[in-house]
Amino acid sequence: MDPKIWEPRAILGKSLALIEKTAAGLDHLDHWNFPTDSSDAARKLLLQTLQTLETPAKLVPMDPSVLYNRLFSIQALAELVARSSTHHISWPLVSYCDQIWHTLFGDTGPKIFYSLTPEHNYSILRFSAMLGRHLNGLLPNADISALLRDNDLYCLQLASSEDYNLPLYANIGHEFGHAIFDHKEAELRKLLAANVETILNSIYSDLDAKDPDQATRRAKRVVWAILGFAKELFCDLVGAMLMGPSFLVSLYEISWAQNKDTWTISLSPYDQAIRAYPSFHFRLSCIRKWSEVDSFCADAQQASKRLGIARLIEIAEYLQGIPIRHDSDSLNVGPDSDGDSNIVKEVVTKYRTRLKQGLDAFLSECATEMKNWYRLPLPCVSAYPVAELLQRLEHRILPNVIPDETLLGKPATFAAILNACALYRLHLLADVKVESSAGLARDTAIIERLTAKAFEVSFIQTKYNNWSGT
Amino acid sequence: MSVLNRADIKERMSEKDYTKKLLVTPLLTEGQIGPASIDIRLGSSIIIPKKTYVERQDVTDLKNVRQVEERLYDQRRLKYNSKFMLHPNQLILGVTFEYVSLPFDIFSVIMSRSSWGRLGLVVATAAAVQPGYKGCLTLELVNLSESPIALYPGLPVGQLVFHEVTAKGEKVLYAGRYDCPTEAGLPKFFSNEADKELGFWGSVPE
Repeated sequence: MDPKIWEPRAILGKSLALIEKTAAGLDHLDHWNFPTDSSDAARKLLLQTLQTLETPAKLVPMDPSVLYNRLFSIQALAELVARSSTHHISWPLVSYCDQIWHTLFGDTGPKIFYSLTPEHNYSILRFSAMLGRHLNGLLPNADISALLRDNDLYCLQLASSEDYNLPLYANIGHEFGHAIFDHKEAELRKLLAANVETILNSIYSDLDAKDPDQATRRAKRVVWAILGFAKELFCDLVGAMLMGPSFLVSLYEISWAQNKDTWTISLSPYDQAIRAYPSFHFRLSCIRKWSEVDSFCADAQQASKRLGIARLIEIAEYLQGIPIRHDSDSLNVGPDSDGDSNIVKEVVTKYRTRLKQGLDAFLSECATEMKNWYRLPLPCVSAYPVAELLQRLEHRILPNVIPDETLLGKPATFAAILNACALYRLHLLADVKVESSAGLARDTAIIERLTAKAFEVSFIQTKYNNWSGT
Repeated sequence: MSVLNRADIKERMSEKDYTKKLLVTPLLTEGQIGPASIDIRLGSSIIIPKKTYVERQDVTDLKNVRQVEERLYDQRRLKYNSKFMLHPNQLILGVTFEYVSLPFDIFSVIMSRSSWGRLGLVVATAAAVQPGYKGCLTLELVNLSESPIALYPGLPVGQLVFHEVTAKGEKVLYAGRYDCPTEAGLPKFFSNEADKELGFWGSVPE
């Protein structure tokens, strides 16, 4: 028989088996183990998608090879849902994150569910948009829109390699920044354009002087790169506003063993796929400013006198000592095989100082807009409760309650617990002496589990207080 | 060794110095403090021993102990609105919602609360909490009744009774194998020097 005739049928058969297998896997997931309800929304969306795909009327016009190929991508999304389990994800932590998400997006906005990634870092994925892309060309646009309507779903992937590394959870604030950027992109682009327009004009003039035929195309690529820098810095701003100084500690820890003073641009034949990251030193300097570290440290001095904790000043000094000088930053543009890499490097490097100023001004305006757009409690944390919790950690006591005149105390906030834990942990690590480091792993593990438990009980205590009216 | 009453408990809990403070946290309501005890709640972490291919539980045999640790237990984290059905004669390990820190002169005992005891629920078989202990307490929950008992995290199933230890100037603090635990913990045989003798008792020369 001619394979041209039977091969498409065989591929279609394999695809149908794959649809059935993926749907069965999703159907058998234990809903009780989802850390929050939105994981089930993701599960149902995928099940509905698979049902639509196997409808005979929809199958007929599909190219079996394309269907087969896309099903692997849909399977990867199904695996994300399967990894959304309380076995590995602390539901009190993500419940707190859900509260923050709700403050940002309300009842009618996008939903988020939580999963794991084997990577060291955290990432956020617009789950429903990704699914839409996989369905593009397979189903009519009207069907895709019907499936995704009322299903704007994000997936936050937590680093499984840092399963118990709770202080790094401050990075979640940065990831939420990406979702805000998606929803306020037009406004944010306007702000950016206003702040970097003159720089872009200068860059265009330079490119035009070098090669007028290529100037517009190259300038476009530079614009995408600058947008990349701005997006990353905006997410850092959100992280700093939501998580306070713990985000500085968190990003600082992520930067360890990495080059901290290089800005990078990764060019791509597709402009939208151009990736660009500012240097860690520049990012840390912005985060230090927006997480209001200096006023936090000044308050810490006062709190430390009031509570009699000399150690607090020492811990605040670590925060202020995090390196942020970025005057010797350099730029790396790749890949070398891209004919524009040298020119892009040259022009962006030339206007580097002005670009930093423009980005800084952009962030200032974003901070103002963030306060207009959302009802964020700012600053998210003050030194006094953190000092109280640090004192408890020092005595190996759960950092869950801020003492008051009652025996019950006030449940500590998510930000206070996170910041106390991050600062105390940094101090533990930085204070280590090689000759007497035995027990350090045990000590850091204690801090991490005290933090996890504190998240849990403070969350429940707050719920209980709301219920009982206390 | 006297038992602390409500006034004593409150006084010891109001102490500012964490090294002297009696701490049971969080208390969701002052009503948890009884005439001579504090009610404690079930936390979210549980360990379920399962029927599996473990030959036996023999604590004198290190290899067997490690095999049991690896194969026998299923660790779970319950959400606060989800129930766990404890079947007749079933043993699970739970954890207290509260974190406890005892000063050097307080000894504590965990007990079932009477109403739960009448249902057939036993919350702790190893009930002593030593002076200086810090951490959540692992509960050994057993259903001695004829029907399943629904357990939800947060339910006040047990109570702590506190005794003042006559210290006579000497501070002897807990330095055991459980280090600030916050989740239900597995038994830890062969984790300290004293356990070396376990092997001896399994092979005493004739």
